[in-house]
Amino acid sequence: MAGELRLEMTAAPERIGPDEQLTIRLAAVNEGPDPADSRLRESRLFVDGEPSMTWSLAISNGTGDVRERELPPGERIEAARQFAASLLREPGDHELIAEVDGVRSNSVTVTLAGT
Amino acid sequence: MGEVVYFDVGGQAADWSASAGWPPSRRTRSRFAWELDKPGAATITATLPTGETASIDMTVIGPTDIRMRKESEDAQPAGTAGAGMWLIPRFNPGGVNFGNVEWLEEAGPASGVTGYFADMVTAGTDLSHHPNPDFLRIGPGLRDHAAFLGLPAPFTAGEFSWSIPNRFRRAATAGTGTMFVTTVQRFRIQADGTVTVSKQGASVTRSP
Repeated sequence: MAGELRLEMTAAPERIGPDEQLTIRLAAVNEGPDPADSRLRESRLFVDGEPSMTWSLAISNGTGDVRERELPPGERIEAARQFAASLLREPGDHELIAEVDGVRSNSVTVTLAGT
Repeated sequence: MGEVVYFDVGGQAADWSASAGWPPSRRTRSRFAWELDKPGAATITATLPTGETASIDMTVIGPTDIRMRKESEDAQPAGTAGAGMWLIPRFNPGGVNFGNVEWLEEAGPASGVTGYFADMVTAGTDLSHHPNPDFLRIGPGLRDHAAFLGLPAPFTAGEFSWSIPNRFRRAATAGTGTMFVTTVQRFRIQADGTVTVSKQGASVTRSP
């Protein structure tokens, strides 16, 4: 990932029950002067500091736009995935951070309610 | 499907009617713009002020199948297990314009999980299909990506697959769309870490 790409992540809802779905949206913004490969399909998601293989499989599969690999300057592209609450493993507050080739997204906190 | 079709009778004003689609009728128009937003058939009829009529039968076709053509293979560092590819989806039947149609893959569980991948499930990985939850418009920029990257050693043989229900809808509409075909994506790893991913006629194999 080129150094002039920025990652933005959101997760909704911020508090989920054990039977609810969590939607994570990861976007790359090209802040550089040249087209850049967003490499969103190679992104990793850290849940409380641990890389999630569930995310890696999910984000590397699915439909998308050809611009992902050659994102024009100033443009933004987003990939979304939905997960069961089991992504978070256990009740409590969980910190999510995405990373692509050393570039990290903002941190998002999601609370998994107990049963 | 999803295309607006224009009819006229040599520029003469006519009363128009359609047995299905929108609009159902228009009076005293030299041109009739009509659309059926889902697969089906309709008869368009024009009635001139003289009482003469002319009609034409229209058949609207939706997508019935998807085949994948591999556009490129993913580059990965040597020593890393995994394989992936970018795909260009081709919607059948050919020769039909689906440029105003959107496509969605549905989520679903993994099936036939064995060996290496069964061990991943035991360790807490969810191998279900978590696709893009948003409909995307069919067009030249539409792509699909099929991959399993960054698989950790030690390796043993294993496999699993996804049966993926596919839905379509007219562009710029809401709703869940119409299911039209179930596609299959397969993952396989050999004991030496060689990974194969295949989907609808396209395949990639890579060794660490």
